[in-house]
Amino acid sequence: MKHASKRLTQKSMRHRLILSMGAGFLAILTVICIGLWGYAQQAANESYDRLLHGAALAILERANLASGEVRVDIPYSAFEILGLAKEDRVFYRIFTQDDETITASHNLRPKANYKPSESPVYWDDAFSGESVRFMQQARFLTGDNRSLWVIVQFGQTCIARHDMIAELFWRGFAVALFITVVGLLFVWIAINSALHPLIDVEQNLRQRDISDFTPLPVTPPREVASLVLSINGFISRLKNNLDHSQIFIADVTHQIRTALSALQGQLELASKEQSPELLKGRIEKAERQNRQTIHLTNQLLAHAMVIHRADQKIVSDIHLADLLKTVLQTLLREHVKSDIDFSVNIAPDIENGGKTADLIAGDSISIREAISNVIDNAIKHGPANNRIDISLFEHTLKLRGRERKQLILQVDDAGPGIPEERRAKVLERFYTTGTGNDGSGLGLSIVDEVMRSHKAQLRLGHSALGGLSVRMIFTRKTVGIPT
Amino acid sequence: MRVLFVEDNMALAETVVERFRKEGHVIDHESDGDEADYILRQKQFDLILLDINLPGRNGFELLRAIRARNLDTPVLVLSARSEIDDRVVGLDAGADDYMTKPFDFRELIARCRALARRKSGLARNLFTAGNFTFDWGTKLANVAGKDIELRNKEVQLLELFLTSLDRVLTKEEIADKIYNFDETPSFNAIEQTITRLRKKLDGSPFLIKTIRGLGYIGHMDET
Repeated sequence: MKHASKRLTQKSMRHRLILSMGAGFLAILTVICIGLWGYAQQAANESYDRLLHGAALAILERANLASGEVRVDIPYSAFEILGLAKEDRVFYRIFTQDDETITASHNLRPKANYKPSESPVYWDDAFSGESVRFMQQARFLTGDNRSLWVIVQFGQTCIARHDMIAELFWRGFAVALFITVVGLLFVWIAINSALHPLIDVEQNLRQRDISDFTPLPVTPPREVASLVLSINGFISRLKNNLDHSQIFIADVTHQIRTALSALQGQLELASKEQSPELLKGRIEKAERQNRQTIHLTNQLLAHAMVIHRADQKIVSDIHLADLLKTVLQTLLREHVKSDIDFSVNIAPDIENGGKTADLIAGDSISIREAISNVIDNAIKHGPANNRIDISLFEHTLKLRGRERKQLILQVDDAGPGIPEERRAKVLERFYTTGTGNDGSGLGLSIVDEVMRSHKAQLRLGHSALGGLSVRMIFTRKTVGIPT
Repeated sequence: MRVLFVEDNMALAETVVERFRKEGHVIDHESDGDEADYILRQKQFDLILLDINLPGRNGFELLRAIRARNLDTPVLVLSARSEIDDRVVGLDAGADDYMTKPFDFRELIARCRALARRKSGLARNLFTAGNFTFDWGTKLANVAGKDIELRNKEVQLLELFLTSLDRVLTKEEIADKIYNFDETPSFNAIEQTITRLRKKLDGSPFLIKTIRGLGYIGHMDET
């Protein structure tokens, strides 16, 4: 029980939904974060690269070629622009296309394979132990007798950039996280409201009295309503079943009490009897009554057993011919002294038909009980010189173009038989043909139960021998043989 | 015959004990499986009547213990449990016969006699039932003091039935056991032999019931 409930919590619909939704949101959040990081980096670089670009333009504007000499005035505004990134340090070098330094703050390495151009080039590199953003831009100066490229190179540490990246990223992340949390909250509310009708059903069932068979209220949504309808169907079947059991218990009580009262009566009469002659008669009657009570009890227990076993769905492979022989072995032993003429006829195609010729699926103990009851019935209701023919044969049934093999176990007797109009009646519990015989009224009802639980048919008919003919029709089990 | 009866229901035990004593048998009653086991180590019995639901150790365990000691005393199991399952287990565990409660006393005593006889008969070489005797050594059958003349095949058939009383013998089994390779057995011949045997033993408790299509059952009617 504990184990089961643990498994049930693990499989909680709510947990599963929230877990899968949570995983979905987490995935989306991760994608957003990656995008956000890239965007923040790009935005920061673009902003601060513009400063470098502006400063470079301001310097290059002041560069000129006078009488073959390159002259550069570094304007104050260039450093003002760069000063906008307050905590960053700036390095610069101005040089010609021949790598001849004109002026420099540090000895910076120019970009490898640089082709002088008027549009700026940016790259990241490490310099003096810090990560530094470099840019380089050139201007073509033309003089009277000489023309050349002047190149400005700037390096700027990345503190401001990193600050900006972090700020952009965390702001964006905070918004995304907020949306996720709110989303999950909505999911939680939605799951709860979707599950609410189910919880109602659960509470109703949990608080229900064991004898309360009223149907559950059917409420929308449609999915839950159909579940409730199924539960209601089950409740009504359960009630039916219970009603039947109650009737059965009442019947059983009546039967047993009646039988015991009769026995008690006979014994009381016997105990008061003075004459030894009459006493003997009384005791014989009591003994007969006792035998009937024993028979009734045995049949009641057998009936309960076959129903119980049918509920348990005990199924195995049964060789019907072998089972029949075992039953006869035990049963006939009790009737060796009788004048009843028994004959057994197992069709040759079953007797010699290989392993699967008499194979059916079922519960051997129940089927054994059914066969003994049919034969017992024939013995009990027939005359002393009865004739009882037991036969087992195969029959092929054509059903919608498909062949189905049936195994038919037939018991014929020369007894009084059962008139046609009462054949359905005798399958009911405690119905006896009534003429003073000591039947329990359960024999054929046991057979009927067993046949029904095996999806086999029970047919009562008139026998060629004059009495009753009982046919038990089983479906043969086919093993690996396509039908 | 000396019988040990192991049963914990005192009311039932009392009636069975009284009945057996009236029939002139010596019967000891034990109501506990362990005590029964102890007494079986001390004394010899001709037959054990064994209930299944017992305090101490249950009937099946006791039976297995007995058989494990190579004690071949016949055992008749009395069971009130869901019969058939128990029957199989009981016979597999080494019981010689079983009866389901509630049982008929006459039937019980007849079965006990048959079991005890099976053993003592083998030991003394003489089968006795009512007015019928059969000497395994000299192959002589006797009904009510009169010797019965039996032909060779009839003797073999009688022996076969006496060793498998109350069991269905098919014609094939009979043919296998009493005909050799040189003889061609015909089912008709078997039928005729059985008819003759039946006639010769008329008046004795020995019965042969024909189940057409299945075979024959030999039975000693002593109830």
